Amino acid sequence: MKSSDEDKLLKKLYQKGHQDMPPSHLDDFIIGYAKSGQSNKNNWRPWLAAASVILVMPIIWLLIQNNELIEYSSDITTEELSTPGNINDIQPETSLDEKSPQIPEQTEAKTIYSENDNPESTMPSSSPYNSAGNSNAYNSIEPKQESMKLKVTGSRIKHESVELNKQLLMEEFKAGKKTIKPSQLSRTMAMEIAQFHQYIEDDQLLLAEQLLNELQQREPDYDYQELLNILTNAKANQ
Amino acid sequence: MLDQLSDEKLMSSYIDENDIYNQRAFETLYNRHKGSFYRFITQSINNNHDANEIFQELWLKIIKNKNNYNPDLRFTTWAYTIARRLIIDLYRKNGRNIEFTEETISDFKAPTLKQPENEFEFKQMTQHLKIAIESLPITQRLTFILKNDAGLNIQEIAQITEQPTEKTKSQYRYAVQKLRKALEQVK
Repeated sequence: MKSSDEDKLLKKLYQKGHQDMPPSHLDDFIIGYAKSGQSNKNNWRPWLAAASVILVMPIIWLLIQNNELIEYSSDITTEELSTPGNINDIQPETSLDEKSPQIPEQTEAKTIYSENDNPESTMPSSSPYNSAGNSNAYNSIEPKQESMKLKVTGSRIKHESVELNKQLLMEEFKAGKKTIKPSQLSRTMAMEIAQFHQYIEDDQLLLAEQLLNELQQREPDYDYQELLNILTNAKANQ
Repeated sequence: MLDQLSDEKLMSSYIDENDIYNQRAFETLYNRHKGSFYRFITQSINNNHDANEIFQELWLKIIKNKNNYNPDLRFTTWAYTIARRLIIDLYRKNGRNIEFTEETISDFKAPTLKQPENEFEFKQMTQHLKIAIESLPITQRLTFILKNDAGLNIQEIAQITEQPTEKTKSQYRYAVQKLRKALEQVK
């Protein structure tokens, strides 16, 4: 027999006598292990997302809690707040609380108004007017030379209360009337205003009152409180 | 379709996590080699319990270290190298010395192998061969198994057993001579 034939015979005999296979439970275990290794890889991202949420949620909660603590604990005295709005639209005796019964109890801001001749208005950083959403409303109202000094004292109000206040004040400002300012008046109205002052100087108060009534009916958007005050004073001095 | 692929391509498919067939590639690879790996281990150890553990450990290492697999190397060479090291570790753990020194046997004229005349004689020869293989020194035994069961060539066996090619060739020759002698008695 050739050597190669002998090798073939040996191989054949070996293979016939050696057909052992691993037990089936080992097959299952190994294939299962390979699968689980693969699925672990595929599930890595959802696990990471879940872990991130678990980690981030307490941090957010702590931040919120911290803000609330700061809001409750810090008593603030807001620096002078000059409001360029119309003095007549704000009732000096009326606090914000009285005007907004729906505002929560935490709102304890007290308002003290006094006249300030400084035409420059200053806004504290805590003022709701500083928010971008209110900037248009703020700009739409021309600053008066007689601006109001608003002093706010008390504990800092909660965010929700600030929002409600802001909304309320926005409505007040929107409802506000135009200031009588020479640069904004039409020529006719400017002449009529000048005429009104002339009537006052000449003590023709009845004519002045009639003219003022006409103006109020014809141009209701303007604020006539200042002219009414002048007329009232003139009547009182007569 | 996967059955047609080489071991190396199956392994590459298994490594690629984006390959939708990666799991099936592993199963194909496993089914293709589980028998030869298992026999290589059982005949090296002669203890079924230990052999099962080594077999399991071998595949777990293949799975865990799949990213370390070098596609330029044949999968079988890589896997049998791991298996051999696990067997050596087990020998050392059990306080046994595995003898890898070259056996010097005097040249003797091995008898010519005779074709079995019938099925009975074939079965008898098979039984004798099995016993003769178990009695071979471990290096010769492993070389013979790797050549005839795993289908590796002498160079690959030398690489796995970390021995020179000539030495591996000698070991194989010695193993064959001893087995022929053992089969001569079947008459």
